[in-house]
Amino acid sequence: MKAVEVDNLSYSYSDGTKALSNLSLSIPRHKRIAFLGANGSGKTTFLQHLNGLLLPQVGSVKVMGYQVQKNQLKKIRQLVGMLFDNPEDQLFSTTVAEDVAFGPRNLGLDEKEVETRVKQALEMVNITDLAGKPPYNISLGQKKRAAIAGILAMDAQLLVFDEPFSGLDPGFANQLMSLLEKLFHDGRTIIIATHDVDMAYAWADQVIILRKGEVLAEGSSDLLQDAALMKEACLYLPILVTAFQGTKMYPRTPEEANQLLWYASRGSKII
Amino acid sequence: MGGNHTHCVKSHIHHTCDSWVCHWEPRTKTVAAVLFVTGVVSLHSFYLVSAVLLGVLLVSFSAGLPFKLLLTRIILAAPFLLLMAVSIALGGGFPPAAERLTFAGLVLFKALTSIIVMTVLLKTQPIDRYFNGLAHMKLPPVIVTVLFLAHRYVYLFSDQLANTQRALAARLFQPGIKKRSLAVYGEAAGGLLLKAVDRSDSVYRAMAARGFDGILRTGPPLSIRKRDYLKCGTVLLVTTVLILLDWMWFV
Amino acid sequence: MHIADGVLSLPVVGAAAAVAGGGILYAVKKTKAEEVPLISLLSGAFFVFALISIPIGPTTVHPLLAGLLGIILGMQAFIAVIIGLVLHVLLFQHGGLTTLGVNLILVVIPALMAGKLFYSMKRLPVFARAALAGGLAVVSCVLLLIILLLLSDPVYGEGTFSTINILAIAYMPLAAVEALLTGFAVNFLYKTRPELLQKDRMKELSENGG
Repeated sequence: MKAVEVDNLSYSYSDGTKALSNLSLSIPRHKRIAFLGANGSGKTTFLQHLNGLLLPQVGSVKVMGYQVQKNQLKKIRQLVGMLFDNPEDQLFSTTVAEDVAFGPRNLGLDEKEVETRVKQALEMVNITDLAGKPPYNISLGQKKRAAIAGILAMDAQLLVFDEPFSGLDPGFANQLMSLLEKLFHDGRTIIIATHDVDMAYAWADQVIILRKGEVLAEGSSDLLQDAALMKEACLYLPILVTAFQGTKMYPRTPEEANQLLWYASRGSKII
Repeated sequence: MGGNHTHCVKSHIHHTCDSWVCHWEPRTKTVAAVLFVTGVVSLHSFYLVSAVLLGVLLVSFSAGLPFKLLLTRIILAAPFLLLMAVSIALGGGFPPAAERLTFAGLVLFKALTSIIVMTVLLKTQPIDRYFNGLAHMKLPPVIVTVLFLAHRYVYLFSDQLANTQRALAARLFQPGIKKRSLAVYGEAAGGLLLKAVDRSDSVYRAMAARGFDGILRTGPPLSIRKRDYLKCGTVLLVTTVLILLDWMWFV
Repeated sequence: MHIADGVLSLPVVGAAAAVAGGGILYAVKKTKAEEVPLISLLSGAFFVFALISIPIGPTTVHPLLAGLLGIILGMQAFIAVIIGLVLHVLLFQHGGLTTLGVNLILVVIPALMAGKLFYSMKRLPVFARAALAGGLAVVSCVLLLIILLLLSDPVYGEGTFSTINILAIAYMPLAAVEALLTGFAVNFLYKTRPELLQKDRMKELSENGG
């Protein structure tokens, strides 16, 4: 069973804007997927189909084996957790713990089970000490963690993040990345919509590039080495691709690049 | 943009409290408070109401509430109360008639009693525990849900408005009732409403993504124990006795 | 408008509570799940804005915003206002417990009238309609309060410096301030988001996401 199967999906907003056009793709389970594209390329519109916030007007979407349609929404929203780009919109209860409990209670779980899930979710994202705090009193990074805890408490297996790193300082961004890795190694499928090409290049198993509501390209993150493609997608080349152009070496992370340069400085003919 | 009470929005944080009132379950406490205040409002005897006021003051001290807190609450209501009391007392001319003074005193003392009771009711537990209790009081679910969410967003808008005020002050905005100033107030109000409208869509999506169906589900309320019933029953008994005494006094 | 407990008699308070309760239940029945976040955020925004102090000479006033409430929310003003009043009680212990119904109808009835007035006067420019609606909302609020006071006890109306005379004089400047404030606010919305000022706006807003 694939995590996501999309067949000929089209969607237009009420003002006539065609956001998605004949989009077809499939996403395997337990992979790290990056959706890239300029503003207005259809990333957010597509992601909202995965959780059933938008329903297909033309075509079909299947997530974790379930067709995205009205009578399946409860199941889909339990399986697919969405983190929106602004966590302020996602946190509204009087305390962090109450907010994390929101999803499980909507699933109709008994209070003991809710309590257990809240505790586990807070531990997973390392904010147990914030349980009793009001969400408006914590930092942006902590808000993002609290929002993620709210999704994990529903036992979501497919995690969808819309611009998760926006507004975060490098320290918090690193912490969030470590958390995503931990969640991935726990067996979840992770989808991120981002403008951050460098992050996608370093992290993603599969990259899908959208342009004007259509899939421009999909494949491994090697796609991001194609300058012509990136130009067409209105994206920039990853810094490491630019830096190592003409060398036939393709480090994905600064650490890999540093290692290559270290060998080169010792006279090795690696580059 | 003139002053505002938005800083007060954040200063409502519950004071640590360990008295008999703090351990009183919120639902029974609310029922007792509302019925008590209703009973006090029905009284006609100035002396009875004065005794009641003294009584609730003593209760508030035994509840561990700081006097400063009560004072700030009374000061907030002072302009309106003074307007009422002075106009009742002096409305018929100077010197004021005895009946007018009595009536003014009655209105004032009833209002003060209510303020103290509300403070005792609401400042003796964390607000989330009180909300939890409210959610289990058979109120329309839409009202409870809107109340929870509105409470949350009051802080957000409070911060936004404070930012707007700072930005205006930085450009020498003069608060007042001049046409230009009122235009700024009006546009700020409109701007705040637009932000609310735009945000509401994102909020709805975020809630729907976690299964929201219009009703906010909360955790279980504190269980009502025998002593909560006892406290509630005592208050109701006192209220009944007061009403009977008042009735006997005036019949 | 926050009338404290004890000012009005119990029969008046009881009758107002009954009217208020009926209005709230009717508004609640008309509210759909997708409208809940919209009403919640608007309630929060109105509440926060009404905390502003506008200096007038030696004193300050707080905007009532009844006109604006009626124009934007219509019947759902019942929900927004009761929420605002409950928040005042919860956060500041300001207002009253028995007078929640009174305080609600003192704002909502003028708000609904203001809304009706605004949408019926299509020939006038938006600013003028809104200013008229805003000013008249305050006037009708004060008139309603005067009626309730007189029904509670005739002493409120006796004498040259009676309570009702002082209230009427004290609220005159507020009526003028509210008129201008409402005019500017609605004009701003008309220029930036005219769909907020249409019939069935709540339904449209919640469907189209603002």
